[in-house]
Amino acid sequence: MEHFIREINPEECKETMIRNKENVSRERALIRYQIWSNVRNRSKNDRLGKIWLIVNPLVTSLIYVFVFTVIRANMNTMNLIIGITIYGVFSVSVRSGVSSIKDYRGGIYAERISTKVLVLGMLGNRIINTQFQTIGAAIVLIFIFDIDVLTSLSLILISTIFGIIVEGFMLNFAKLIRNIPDLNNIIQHTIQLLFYASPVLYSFDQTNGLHRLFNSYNPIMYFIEFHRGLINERFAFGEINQIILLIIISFLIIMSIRGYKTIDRVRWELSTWS
Amino acid sequence: MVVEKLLDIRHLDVSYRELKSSRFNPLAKKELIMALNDIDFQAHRGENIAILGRNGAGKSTLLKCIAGFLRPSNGTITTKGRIMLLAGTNPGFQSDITGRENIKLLAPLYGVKESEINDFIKNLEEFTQLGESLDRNFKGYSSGMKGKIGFGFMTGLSPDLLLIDETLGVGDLEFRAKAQIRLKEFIKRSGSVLISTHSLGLASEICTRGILLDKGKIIFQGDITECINKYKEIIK
Repeated sequence: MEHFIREINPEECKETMIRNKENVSRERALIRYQIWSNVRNRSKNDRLGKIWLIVNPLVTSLIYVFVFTVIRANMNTMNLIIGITIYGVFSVSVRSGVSSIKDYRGGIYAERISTKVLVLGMLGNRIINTQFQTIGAAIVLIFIFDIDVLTSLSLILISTIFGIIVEGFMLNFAKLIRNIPDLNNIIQHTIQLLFYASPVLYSFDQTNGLHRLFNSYNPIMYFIEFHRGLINERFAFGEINQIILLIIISFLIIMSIRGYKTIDRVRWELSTWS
Repeated sequence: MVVEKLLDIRHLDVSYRELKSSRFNPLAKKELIMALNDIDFQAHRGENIAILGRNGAGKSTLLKCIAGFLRPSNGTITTKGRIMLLAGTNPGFQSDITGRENIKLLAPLYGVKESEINDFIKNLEEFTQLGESLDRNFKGYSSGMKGKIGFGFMTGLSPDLLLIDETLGVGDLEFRAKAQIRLKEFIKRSGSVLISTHSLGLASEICTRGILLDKGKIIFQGDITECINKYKEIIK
């Protein structure tokens, strides 16, 4: 019994657990459960279940491709698919980051589960969800556009890294948004605006003036153009000062780590908010 | 023989933060509502304690706080061993899978070893007597059936301290009688129980000590019979 001691005070809920085989395997089971239940809850009412998790983002991309290429007939289809896929990961990760604060019990109602389990479950969910979101586009790149497998699959890797960073970044604002729920509407509008303002439907090359300046500070642009660059062998942001790029990416990563680290404190603080 | 201390509560205060908006202040004003005030008590292995008090006295808040679900605004709680809270009747069952699948899924998450899962299910089957219903989707269960599985599941586990919040009222009369027997077995088998209940009969039967809460404060703690008498006085 000494393998589990808990000290509760206003600052923290500190748990000391000896890492024996039994405890470690239970912890792993809890992390798997977080991921399993999330995927399951998103597809449980559908006859085709998890297939929709891959088909839905792919169909959305194809609809955009149809709208912007067949109707307007002046778009680069491949660039569009990459842009829309990475943007899709961005918008889902933003929402996931700000709404993750709603459930800190992880589906286990009778016993407190550790924050470490919650965070690892959250990261696992982000990885799995991003894979579902991007695998369809990667397949299209391989079979329709004849892009080599490694470059196509790198879309999944780039999107996953981006998704984790964005979710972590948004966790910094989760408490503020819980305090002022109206901010959800502003976030919703910002996501919509960024779809058109970021180089999702067009290339960064096609922007100029203020729009170009804005996008040179817009992290979405770097991730989208990086993957486009892998395929086209030319990076559209090549002319931008590399120091700006380094500062933006470092800032995002630091804020993201901070976001994941604050979960324990925020979880504790919010437990008595009604 | 020194009896092991499972729970040690010192000067515990708990306040909830509520937002109150009005026509003149749509951004809402923060208000603190004191739910528990200067709670002090200890529980040792083998001790069963009843927590009595009127609705809103702070019983559920106290149990949630001991379980680690709520942050105190002052004071400390130190616990040894695994603590589980049976509040309501759902330890986390999923609605779209069967009762049996739910048990199989959740048991390892609550620390049941892989090699013991079949025995765990068998034991639960015998206790709930749900028969073939155990293989039906959980969402089709009546609240009584859900209560039976939830209670059976929790009392089949081996926490060091089990916190029970008013859940013995589930099911029919026959089940309640069985539930009391199972609870007594559980108490014998493992650590301790803290039970918040309005059933004074149950409290006097299984508990040796009582804690009486009123408006978030302990107004009495000691022998269960005396505690029940005090409780009867305040609800007059």
